[in-house]
Amino acid sequence: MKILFFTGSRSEWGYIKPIIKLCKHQKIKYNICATNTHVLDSYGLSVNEIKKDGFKVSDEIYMTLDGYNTYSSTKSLGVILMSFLDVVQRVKPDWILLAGDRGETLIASLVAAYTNTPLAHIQAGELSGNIDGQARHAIGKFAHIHFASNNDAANRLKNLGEQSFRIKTVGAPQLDDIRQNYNKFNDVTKILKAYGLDSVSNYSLIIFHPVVEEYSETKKIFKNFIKCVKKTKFEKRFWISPNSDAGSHFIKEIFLNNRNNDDILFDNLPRHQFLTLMKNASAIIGNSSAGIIESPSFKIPTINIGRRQKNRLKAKNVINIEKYSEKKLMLAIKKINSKEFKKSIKNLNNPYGDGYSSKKILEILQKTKVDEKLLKKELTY
Amino acid sequence: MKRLSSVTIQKNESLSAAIEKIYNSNSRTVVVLNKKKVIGVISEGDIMKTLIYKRSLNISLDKIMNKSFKFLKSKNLSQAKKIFRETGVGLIPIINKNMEIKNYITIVDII
Repeated sequence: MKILFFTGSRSEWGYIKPIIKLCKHQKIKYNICATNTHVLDSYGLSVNEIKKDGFKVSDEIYMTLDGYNTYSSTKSLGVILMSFLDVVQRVKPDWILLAGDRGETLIASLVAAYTNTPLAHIQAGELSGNIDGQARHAIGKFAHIHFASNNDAANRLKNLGEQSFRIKTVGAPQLDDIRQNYNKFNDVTKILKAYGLDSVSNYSLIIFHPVVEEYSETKKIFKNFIKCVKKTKFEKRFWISPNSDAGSHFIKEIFLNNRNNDDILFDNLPRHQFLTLMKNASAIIGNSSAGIIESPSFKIPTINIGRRQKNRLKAKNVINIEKYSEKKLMLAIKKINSKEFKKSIKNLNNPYGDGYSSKKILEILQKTKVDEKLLKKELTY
Repeated sequence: MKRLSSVTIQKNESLSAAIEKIYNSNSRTVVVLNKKKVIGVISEGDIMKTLIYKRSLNISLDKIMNKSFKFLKSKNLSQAKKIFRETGVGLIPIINKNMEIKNYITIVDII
């Protein structure tokens, strides 16, 4: 069996890495195609981290056109359509495995479907509050096997007309890493020291990505967001750079012009450093899926703001704020500091899985017979 | 008080102007400003990266600057020493609450 992994961003790499690690261990052939922000110097060249982790990257594809608006982002998708097709034609994989809901992932799924290559999709069937959600369900229409992280997602796939034999509830594989290395994410002081920072006892971790549907309002929304967040009483605010979606340039520019000296920016954090910062944070604030999926494993409060993660299954540690309001943010912070709230998340179970997904995913791929039944999709409605 | 203009550059200036500042200042780094506010730093290494990746020399400074730069709130030499040792930077800007540069420390200051 030869698996072609497709990945376009650091966050998505977290899903795929535990599976490739297992492939390597079990001597299963694999290729990695890294694209989008992975290969961009301005986003930290995270492809180098993949290599440093000991994995061979067979293809590095530039696809991201400058502009960071809705037109340049869409045109970039055309680039990956043509380039990824060449990779598939050369590699001729038995499976293409991809994760999540990004535009480039949707295009990779199109390539798989139109070249009749078996396609498996991780993190299938979930909801997102922006165009990513539409992309995720569109990928679902092309995928031959859906790896759902929980029953909520699995039921949605069923209701969307997917055949039951294709839907596998396996959990979210990025939690495998957390389970395996839980005690290795304690030493935040060491990480801060490497960045020339003193240790801090009370900090928030802030991740704010642009929302494509709110592109024209991004400046207004983010200015308001940073203004609200600066009024919180954390000793430091550790910010993670946004992804490359349309509007990201506004966010970066506004951040640099509105921050104060308690706002520390981490442009590109390797995953183990990111998880260490998360595990030791007083709160996670913003609109990243990490606050929804990974944070319950650490029992860290998340304040999720805006529509980006709308309707997504949320554990008890997540407080949702629909509108960007200072008053609501302050109330949420008051709530996460309350004894009742802390007690309520003390024994939290992560609804996105138990950290044993990779093994289940590989076993299913190995056992699944690639035949007409698998490749010819039928809708159940 | 050191002359801040020798190590600072406005974000809309050219890359060659940044290179000239680095060459003349011996600090291996320039601090990029938007008016008074520090928004990044550019080191010799960042310039080398620009050349290695064959990027245009007309590139704007904010495309190559390090946005997650190290800074201090006061002239704390022992802290500066730690930063030089841990991160390998050549210059640390000293910044007020509003991220305006007030002074800077170079390795030469602590040797």
